[in-house]
Amino acid sequence: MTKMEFLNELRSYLHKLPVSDQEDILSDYETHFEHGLGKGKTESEVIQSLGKPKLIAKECLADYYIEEERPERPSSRRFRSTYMLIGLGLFNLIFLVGPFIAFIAVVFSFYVTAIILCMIPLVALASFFIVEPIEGVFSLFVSFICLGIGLLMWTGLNRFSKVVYQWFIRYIKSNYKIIKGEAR
Amino acid sequence: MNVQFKKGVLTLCVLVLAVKRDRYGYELVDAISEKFLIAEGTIYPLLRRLTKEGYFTTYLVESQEGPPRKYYQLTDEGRNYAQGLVKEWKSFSASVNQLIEEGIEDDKDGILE
Repeated sequence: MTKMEFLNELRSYLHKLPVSDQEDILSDYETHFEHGLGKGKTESEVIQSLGKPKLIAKECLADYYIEEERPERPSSRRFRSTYMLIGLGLFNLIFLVGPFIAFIAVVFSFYVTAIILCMIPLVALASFFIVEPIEGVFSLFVSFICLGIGLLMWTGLNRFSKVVYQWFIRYIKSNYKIIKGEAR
Repeated sequence: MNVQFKKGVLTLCVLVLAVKRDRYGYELVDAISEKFLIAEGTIYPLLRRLTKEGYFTTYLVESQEGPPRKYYQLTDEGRNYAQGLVKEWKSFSASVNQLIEEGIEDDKDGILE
C-alpha cells in the first residue's frame, strides 16, 4: 500500500463525517507521513506502524458518535435559551413594561371617559326634573351630544384595543419562539 | 490488551507527556510507540477527542526542516484531568503490584519467574 492508497482508504471510511472533520483528520495523517519520511522511514514502514485505516476510522467514528449522542447539545441549547430568557426578560422589563403600563392606563382612562360621557344624559335627565325645565332642555341636548361622542369613542376604543391585543399576542409568541431557539 | 484499558492508558500517557511542554503530534506518537507497541494511527483520534473535550488547545508552527507542526497544549482543565488520572493510576498500579508480589511469594513452583 502506498501513502495515497492509505489516505484514500481512510477517507472512504470517513465519508459519514462532516467534510471539515475529514480534512482535519486526513491532514493529521498526511503530516505524520511527512514527518516519518523526513526521519528516513519508507512509506510502507509508516503505514505498518500506523495500523489499519479501518481501525483508525473506527476510532474517529466512535468518537464522533459518542459526541453526537451526548446530550451536550440540547443542554447547551437549554443554557442558551436560559440566557435568552434572562436577556429578553430584562429587555422587556426595562424598555417595554413601563411604556406598556402607561399605555394601558391611557386606554383605560379613555374607556372611563367614554363611559362617563354615555352616562351624562342620566344626569341631565335628573336635572331636567329637579332644576328649571328650560335650562334642563338645553343641557339635555348637550348631554345627547355627549352620549354620541361617548358611543363613538367606545366602539373606536374597542377596535383599537383588539388590534393592540393581537400585536401583544404576536409579540409574546415571538418571544417564546426566540427562547425556544426556533427563530434566528 | 483490553481495548478500553489501553485507551485509558494511552490517554494518560498523552496527557502526561504534554505536562512539561507543548508537544506536536508526531513527537507524541514517537514517544509513546518507543515505549510500547500500539497502532500509532489511533493516537490522532485520541488527540482530537481530548482537544474537543477541552483538555488540549492546538496551534500550528511552521518548521524549517519539515512539515508544519501541530502543537498540543494542555489547558487548565487538561492539567486537572491529568492530575486525577495519574492519581488513579498510581493507586491502581500499586494494588496490581501488591497482588503480583503476593502471587510471587506464594509461587512455590516458580511459574511466575
